[in-house]
Amino acid sequence: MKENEKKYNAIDFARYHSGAMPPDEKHALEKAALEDPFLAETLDGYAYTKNLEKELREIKMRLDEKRKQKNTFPLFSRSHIIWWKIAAMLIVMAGTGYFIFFLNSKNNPLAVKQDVAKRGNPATIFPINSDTTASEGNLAFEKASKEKENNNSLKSPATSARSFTPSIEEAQNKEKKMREEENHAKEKSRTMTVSADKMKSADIALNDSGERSFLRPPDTTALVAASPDVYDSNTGNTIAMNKIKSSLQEVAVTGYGTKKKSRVSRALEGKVSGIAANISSPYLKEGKENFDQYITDNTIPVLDSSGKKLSANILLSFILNNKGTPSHIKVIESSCKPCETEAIRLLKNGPDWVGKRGTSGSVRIRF
Amino acid sequence: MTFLKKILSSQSDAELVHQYKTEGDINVLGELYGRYMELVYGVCLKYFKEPEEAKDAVINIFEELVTKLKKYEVSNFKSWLYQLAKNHCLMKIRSRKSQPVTIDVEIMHLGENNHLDHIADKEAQLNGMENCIEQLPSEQKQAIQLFYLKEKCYKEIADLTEKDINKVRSFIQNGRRNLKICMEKQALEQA
Repeated sequence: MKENEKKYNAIDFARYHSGAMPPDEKHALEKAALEDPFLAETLDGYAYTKNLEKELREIKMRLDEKRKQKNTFPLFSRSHIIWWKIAAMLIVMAGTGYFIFFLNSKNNPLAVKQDVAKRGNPATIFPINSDTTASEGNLAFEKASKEKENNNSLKSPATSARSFTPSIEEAQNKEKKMREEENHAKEKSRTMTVSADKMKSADIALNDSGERSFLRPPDTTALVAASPDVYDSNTGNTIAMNKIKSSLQEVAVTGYGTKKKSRVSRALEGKVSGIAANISSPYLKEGKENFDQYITDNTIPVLDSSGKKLSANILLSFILNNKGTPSHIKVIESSCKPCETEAIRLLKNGPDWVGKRGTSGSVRIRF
Repeated sequence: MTFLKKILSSQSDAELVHQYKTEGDINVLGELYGRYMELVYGVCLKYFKEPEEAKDAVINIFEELVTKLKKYEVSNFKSWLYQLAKNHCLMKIRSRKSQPVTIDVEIMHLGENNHLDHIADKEAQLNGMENCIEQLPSEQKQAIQLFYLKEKCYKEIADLTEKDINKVRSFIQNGRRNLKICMEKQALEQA
């Protein structure tokens, strides 16, 4: 840096133009300006100032502001805009991924929402229709503990169109034993707890031999729990799931009583003795008219205390045994309590039924 | 911050330029620009003749400097800044298409002056140029003698010669140019 470049400043230039600068200084400045065009032009320029001090103060202030602006992190500068783009892209990708995952998990018809089932409030149960094995009047439900719920589950996909009736019976053809089982079942205050989530319509019916519990589970997952002290492998416990709507295609029943899940699952395939699955209800071999005639001919009149003949309208449910005769007969609906025994007798000794072993059916007897 | 300012102020232009190029610290550039800001303002005032425009230009030149100093190799910052400031002002004036560019006589004088830069280095030899001075036109000779030998300022010369101050300046600048030609001739003859 040359000496003269250091020496002169705005005040000197102002003094030069105002005439306050002595001639020798003026000469030195002019001489320096002749050597330095930058200085020469500057010297000329300061002839146009109006309020030099104010102007310079303002320039310094604006320059300081600029410096501060440049010092701060410029979020939206060109150099940083690429990072903003990357961040936005990641957010969009994450959002899209989550959306796709959400859609897939929601639309998958076979998804088993066990967590939902576990949380579901039990005993929100609706009565089944007349083509099933129970009526509203016989329903009794009880909430079970969550532990029991977790041990038993019923799963049914939304598009199911089949129904299965798994049963555990080794000697269904022995009527005596079956009667004992029925009585035993009635004596015990059996409870079956059914937990279902989002029950919508009558899709599946679940009942025990004690006519206690019925279920219309949701189109996704249902949870069934039974008390082990009531249901055991020695008695003929049966969980019947009857088709209500043709939309059902598949039902999975898992773990009740002391049965292992694998055993129950295999039962659905008909591989385990004592548990059978079928897809059709039994029907009368010789037709309904012949059955009605049989009732008329063989009914032993039931009299009340005054000797008056009682009329009955009784709906019975049953399970078809190996011989094609009804077993596990239960009263679903009854207009005459004393007449129930006669109705059961008539059904038991009546015409043969056609159907797969273990299937359940119902019949109305009037006399 | 004051300590940092002290350190920066003690550094040369070349050191600050290097530091800014490597670190990109705006405070370093601020210190460097601050040294010449008043000169830049003077140049801008000369071209725009209006303080408001000149002030804006000073700020804009600083912003231009932020990016350009990183790009270019700068050996003499002051000269480079002068050219940058001058070009900025000229570009700005050219961009005003509706406004015709008026070039001041003084600028023209200084334009000539730019070409005589290297002569300044040889000013010490002026004493040996008496022959050449004698060959100059009388007005130029008088002005050169009063300015360089008697060390009078433009105003004093104008008063003594009863000429306009701009004419005095013109005599001096033209006399310098003629001296240069004369000296080059002499150098060729000697060679």
